[in-house]
Amino acid sequence: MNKGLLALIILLLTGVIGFSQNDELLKVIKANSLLSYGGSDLVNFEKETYIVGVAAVEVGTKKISSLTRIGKVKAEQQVSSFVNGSDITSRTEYYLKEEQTTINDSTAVETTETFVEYIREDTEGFVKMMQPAGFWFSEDKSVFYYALYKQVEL
Amino acid sequence: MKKIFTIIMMIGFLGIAYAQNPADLAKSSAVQETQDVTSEVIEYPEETLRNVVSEALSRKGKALGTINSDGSIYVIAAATTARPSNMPGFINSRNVAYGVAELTAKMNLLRMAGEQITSGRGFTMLEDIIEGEDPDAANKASLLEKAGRVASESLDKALSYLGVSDEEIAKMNQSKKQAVYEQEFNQTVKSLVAGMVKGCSATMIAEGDAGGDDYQVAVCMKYSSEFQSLASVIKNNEQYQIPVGKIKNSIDKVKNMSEADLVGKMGTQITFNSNGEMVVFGYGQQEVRDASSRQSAAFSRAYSQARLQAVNNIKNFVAEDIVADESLTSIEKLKEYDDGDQAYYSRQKWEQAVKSKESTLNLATHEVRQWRGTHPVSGQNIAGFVVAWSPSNAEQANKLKDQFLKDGKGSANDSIMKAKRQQTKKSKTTISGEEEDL
Repeated sequence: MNKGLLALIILLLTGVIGFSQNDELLKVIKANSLLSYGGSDLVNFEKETYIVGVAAVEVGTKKISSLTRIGKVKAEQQVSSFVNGSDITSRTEYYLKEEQTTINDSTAVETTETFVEYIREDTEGFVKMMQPAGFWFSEDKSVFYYALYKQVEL
Repeated sequence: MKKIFTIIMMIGFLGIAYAQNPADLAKSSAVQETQDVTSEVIEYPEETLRNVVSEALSRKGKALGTINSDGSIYVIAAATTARPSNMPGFINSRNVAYGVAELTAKMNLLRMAGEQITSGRGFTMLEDIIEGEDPDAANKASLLEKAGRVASESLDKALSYLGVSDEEIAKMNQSKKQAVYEQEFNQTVKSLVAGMVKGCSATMIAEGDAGGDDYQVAVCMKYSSEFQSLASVIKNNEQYQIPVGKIKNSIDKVKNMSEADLVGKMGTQITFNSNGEMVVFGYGQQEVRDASSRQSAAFSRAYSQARLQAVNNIKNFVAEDIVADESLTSIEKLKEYDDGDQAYYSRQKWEQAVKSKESTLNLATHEVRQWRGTHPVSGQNIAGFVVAWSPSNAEQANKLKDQFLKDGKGSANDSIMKAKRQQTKKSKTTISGEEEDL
């Protein structure tokens, strides 16, 4: 009976310590100017290095379950982009025309300028064993942030 | 009483005369202001940049627009925003102007290696003076010609009845006048240039409003063999052996840079980090419109867009396949008629098209900073993002990739997938359907 109680206390304490550590890491993530609005970076916390991915999801009319699900996928995508890089596809087109027509005493000038820029980013990679660090909302509650982390050795 | 009134009147006249003394009037601020007005010659940002860069380069024994002794080339190009600085959408228009200036500079750089020129021109002159009437030209009118005249005159009357003015009817009936003198000239010039531009980065940017809705963005682009080697290393993403240079703490410099300074940063910048490694910075900016609600969502979207622009700028530094063509067509016509009238027609058409072909590149960049600021001229909100590529960070990303792949091996899911499939067990046979339906 005593052994069981002790095991339960140890289990609860581990959970509390784990939770508080997670909470501390979340504070560090929120304080990081690069991650606080979404993105991925390496974070040094308690002498360990973690790779962290933060997703920014527009709240709109989504429920918390949807926000968490979308946030997880987007945060993984951020980490994947950081680790594997991303395929950037782009093209640019620029066209300029100036036409001046004079008929007797009247002159007309027509200028046309067109600029088209197309940028596309594709990320493909392998991200595994990422743990949730937590989530938070922006001040006006319009953006939901979800953070994932994983300890790495460099 | 009359004397007093006369004296007062005289004093009054003297006072007015003194007050309107031309010498004093000339000293007044209003007149001085008009006298100070001189025909102002506005120096555009492109000219300012040209002067600054030329001066700086001459100190190093280099020059603009030529291949310098160290193999470097500097070119300057400019573009004007389509949107004035005091209207919404200006920041995006400024980004476009920068893009146009950069493409034009790269086109000028390619031109230095040679361009294909196609041209053609020609003119015709005619003098046709007729005196009297050709006796052989007089012919008997045919039946069709007579019928045509009846129809034409009847239609004129109908038009007049419908309210068409006599001048308009006369204009419709006006036949082509016989020209006694004709002169025509035409000229076409075409320029075509194409090639791959690798390792070309912005070194200085100048921008400003010259007044009258005229905001110009000018950029000085640099091409060098070191930049080209760096571009090749980024493209291949291996063997990060690039020229080592001066030790600069550029990452910290960008991290601590004021927002006011970051507003002026666009495109890419090549500098060195604390290890003396070459670092490529990509800058991106996006306009954030003021919203009454959900402002942070607008910023969040703008940051994503700015990041994508920043990464794309690094990609454009690595390589861009550019095709540029330019054409100029000039036509002039002059005709003199026998009634003394003259007709003049002129057309000058200039076209320029620059295309950077679609290409894809895998880039492992790291985020340096995201910032928000206001544009000094327009006061509009800007969401900015700075990304960087450095050899050490690229190596770090590769190590992380290996670690993720290592962690993935032998995982629970993989073991389930790879486990040998067991054979099925015997089950009961089930029959469905009713006997009555047979």
